[in-house]
Amino acid sequence: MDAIQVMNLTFSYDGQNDVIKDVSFSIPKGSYTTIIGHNGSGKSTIAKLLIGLLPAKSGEIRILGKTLNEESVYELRNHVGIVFQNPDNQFIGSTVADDIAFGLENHCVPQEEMQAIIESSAKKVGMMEYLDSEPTKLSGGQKQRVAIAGILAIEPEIILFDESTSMLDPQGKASINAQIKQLHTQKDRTILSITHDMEEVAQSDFVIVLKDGEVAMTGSPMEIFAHAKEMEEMKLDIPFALKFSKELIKEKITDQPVCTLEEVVKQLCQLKSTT
Amino acid sequence: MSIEINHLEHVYNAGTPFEHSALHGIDLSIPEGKVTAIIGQTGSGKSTLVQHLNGLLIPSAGTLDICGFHIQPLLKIKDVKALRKEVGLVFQFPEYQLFEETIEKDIAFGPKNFGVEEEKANELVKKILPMVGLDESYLQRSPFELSGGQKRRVAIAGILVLDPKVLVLDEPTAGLDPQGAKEMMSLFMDLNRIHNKTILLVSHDMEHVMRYCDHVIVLDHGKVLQESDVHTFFEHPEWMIKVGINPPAIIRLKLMLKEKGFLIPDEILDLDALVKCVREQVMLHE
Repeated sequence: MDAIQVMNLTFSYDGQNDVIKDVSFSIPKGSYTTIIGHNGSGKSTIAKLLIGLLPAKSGEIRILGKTLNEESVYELRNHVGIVFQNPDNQFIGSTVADDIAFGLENHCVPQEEMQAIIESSAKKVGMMEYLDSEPTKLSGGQKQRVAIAGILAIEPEIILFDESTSMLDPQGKASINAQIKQLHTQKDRTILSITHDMEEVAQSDFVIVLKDGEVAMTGSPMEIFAHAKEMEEMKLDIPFALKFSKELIKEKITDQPVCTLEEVVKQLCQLKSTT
Repeated sequence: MSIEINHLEHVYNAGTPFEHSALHGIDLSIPEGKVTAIIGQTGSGKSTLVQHLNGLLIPSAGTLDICGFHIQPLLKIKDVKALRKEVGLVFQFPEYQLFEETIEKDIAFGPKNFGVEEEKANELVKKILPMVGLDESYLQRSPFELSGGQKRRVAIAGILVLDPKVLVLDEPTAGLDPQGAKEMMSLFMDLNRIHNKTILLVSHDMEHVMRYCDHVIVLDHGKVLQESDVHTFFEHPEWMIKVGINPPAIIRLKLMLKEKGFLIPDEILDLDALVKCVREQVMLHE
């Protein structure tokens, strides 16, 4: 079954200019999908449509097979979690612990189980020492960590990340991405991540490329990155590993393009040992 | 004239139960006319440090010499107000600070605040727009109808119009698409090379640091951990990982290859050279 199905979705903020134009895609359950596109391409608008924060002008969204509408939105939100780019927009609690607890309370998690869940999710994002801090007084990167902890605590079936690690230092980003990946592989959660980080895109199963509110391309990371020229025209980039891989092919050292550093190293090691 | 920082300390909320020491014993000499990167993990003191450079914060101990100003503890903010003309500080997501009806008014706000007459201020605005890659057709438009990258350019123009000698940028490419980030970085390079601005860049993007910066300062827990030119810095990646900095992709690839027995000289920092280097090693076996 598809976790998310989007059919002919159109949306406009002012009723005249459509910012999402007849968009269709589906996301299989348990997959890790990335959405990329230039600034203003409609990525965040789609995320808001998917959780029913914005009403579609026309078209249909199905979450876990069920049509998203005014009646179903509250029930469906139990299955979908979102972490926004600017977490200031979603803090509720007066302390970090309270904020993580808020989601758990909404999901009717028994009080006695809460403390352990709060601590383990804060630990996963490296915020254990800040449980009693006020979320608004934290730095941008720390706020993003808390917002992610809130989602890790609930582990909803579908999780949307809207550039959720943009303010983190590279090390912090890598460790949070590892947590997200773990949620995906070990707990079979469906992940939909809006990102500018092409290395993250290379790690995903499926990519949706948006351009001016329309779906410009869909496919595996390799299929998308094969269109390097179009990517550049859409103000996007390809990962360093693929640039390197292309040079290796040009020099006739290898013949198969790859898009992660691990695969590049593997290819070169094989050459080194077999030739 | 370089920026000299001696034994700088900063304590927040001194004398209260919330007392927190954010910077201790900072000694730095930041070269004039260069692009210097300030890097470090969340909470390492980067923002606290840069806020001293234009007198937004006054040190708790130690001194700072910048653009002819000698800043020491207990100085009054008004004594350093003129410093803000010399040192422009661009915060994270500066487009959030745009507020005027038109782009012209928004950029002119700064000079008018420093006592420049409206007419003169508007002339300055006209002169500054091309520097950030915008033209006069933008003058009467609302800053709010622009794209994220364009808004950021307007916000930066609002700082440049004061003609600062030093420009401090906190994460200037966060949230921009790859192309937008690239354009923003080349704007800063032009400001440095053509307009001779000294640039300080707080950045998490090690690819940018490697490609665009001359000099690197690493902060960790409020202390200077490392200060060097950019080449020396990236030639010793093992050390970078030890302090929790994720190196650029090319450096990570070098490390992974080395681990598998490839011989890669430290000084290789670009793609072509690395391809050539591995080529020799896999072809040797033929």
